Amino acid sequence: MDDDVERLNRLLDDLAAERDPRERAELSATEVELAQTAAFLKAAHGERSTPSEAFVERLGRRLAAGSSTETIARQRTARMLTTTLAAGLLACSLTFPLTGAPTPAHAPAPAAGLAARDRAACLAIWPAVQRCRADLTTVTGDHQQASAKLNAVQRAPRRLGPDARRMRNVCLAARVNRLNFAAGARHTAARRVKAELHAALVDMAESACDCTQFAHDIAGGDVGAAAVPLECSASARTAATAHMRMVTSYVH
Amino acid sequence: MMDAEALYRAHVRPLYTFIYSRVGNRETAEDLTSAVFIKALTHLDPTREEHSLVAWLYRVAHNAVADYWRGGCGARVIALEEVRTAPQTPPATDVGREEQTATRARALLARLPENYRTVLSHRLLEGLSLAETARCMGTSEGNVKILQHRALKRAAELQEDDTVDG
Repeated sequence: MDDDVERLNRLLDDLAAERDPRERAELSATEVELAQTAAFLKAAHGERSTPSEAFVERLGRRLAAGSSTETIARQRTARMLTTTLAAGLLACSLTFPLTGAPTPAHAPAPAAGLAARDRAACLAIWPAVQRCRADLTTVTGDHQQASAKLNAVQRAPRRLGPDARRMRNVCLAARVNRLNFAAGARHTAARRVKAELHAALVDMAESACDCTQFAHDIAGGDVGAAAVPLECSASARTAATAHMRMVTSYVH
Repeated sequence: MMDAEALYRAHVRPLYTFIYSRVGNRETAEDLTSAVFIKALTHLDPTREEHSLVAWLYRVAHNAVADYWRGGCGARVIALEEVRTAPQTPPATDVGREEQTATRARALLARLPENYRTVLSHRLLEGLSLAETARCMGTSEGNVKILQHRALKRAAELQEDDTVDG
C-alpha cells in the first residue's frame, strides 16, 4: 500500500509537471487507469487542453506539403532521401552544446542566429531533443567521447557556405549518434531513443526545405551514407517512407 | 465528402483535446495528434461521408492513446494495419463531446468530496508540489499522499460509472 501511494505520488508529480510518467517507471494497469483519470481531470483547465496556434499551423503546413508533393517525391533517389534525412536530423541538433553534460538545466535554447523558420522548428522539438541527448548519455555512458568528436568536426576547414557547413556538422553529429545507437542497441532504453530521434526527424522535415545548398554540397560525399535511417519496425519504416517523400520534395 | 484540409481544420483542435485529456501532457498530445493526422490523411478516402471519416479519425486516435499507455517506442508510430482495420465506429462517448471536455472534467471534480476535490485541484490544476499542497491544506505530506491516492481512485470509479451509464 505504501509503495502504491508513493508511486502514485510520483505519477502525479510527473503529470502536474507535464512530464511523461512512463519515462520514470513501467506502470501497472491500475496506475495507467489512474493516470488517465488524472489526465482527464487536468483537462478541467480548458486552456491547457487546447492546442497552441503555432502547433496547429505547423502541423497544417506539414500535412499540406506532404499531400501536394507526393507524386513528385516518388521519383527521388534513395540516396537523396538519406541525405535529406540527415539534414533534418542535423538541424534539430545543430544548436546544442557540443561539450559538457547534456542536462536540460544547462542546455541553451536554439541559437538566435538561425533563420526564423529553423529557429521556430528547433524550438518546437527542443524538449524532445533534450531528452534524447540525456538518454543517449544514459545508454552509452560516453557523452564526452561524442563531444570530442563533434568538436573536431567543428574545427574542420570551412570550404562550404555557413548554412551548408552548419548542416554538415549536424550530419556528423547524427553519425556519432548512430554509433552510439549501435553500442546501446541491446539496452531497452535505446528503443525509446530511436523513437525520439524518429520523431525529431519527422518534426524537422519542414525545416529541411531550406537546405537545398547543403544537399547539393554533400551529395557526392559520404556524409549522407553515414546517416542511414535507423533500424526500426515495419510500421515505423512505413511511416518514415511517407516522411521521406515529403522531405525529398523540398530539396528539388 | 470532405477534403484533407477541411478535415484537419475542423477536427485538429477537438482531436488534440481528446488526446490531451487521456495522456495529460502537451508534448505527448502534440506528438500523437501529429501522428494520427499524418497516418490518417495518408490513407484518407475522400469519398467517405464526413461522419464516417471523423469516426475513423477518432478510432485511430483512440488506438494511438492505448498504444501510448501500453508503453514502448510505438507511442509515436501507429501501424498502418491498425489504421486500415480499425472499426468505423468511434467510442460512444468521444465524438462530438470533446469541446465539453473541460466542463465534464470540472463536473467530475465537483462530484468528489471536498477534501478529495481540493487535493486533486492543488496537485493537478494548480501544479502545487506535495509540500505546498500539505501547507495549503494544513496537513502532513504523508496525509496528502494518502488523500490524493483515495481521491483519484474515487474519481476513476465515478468516471467508470459515467462510461457505463453512457
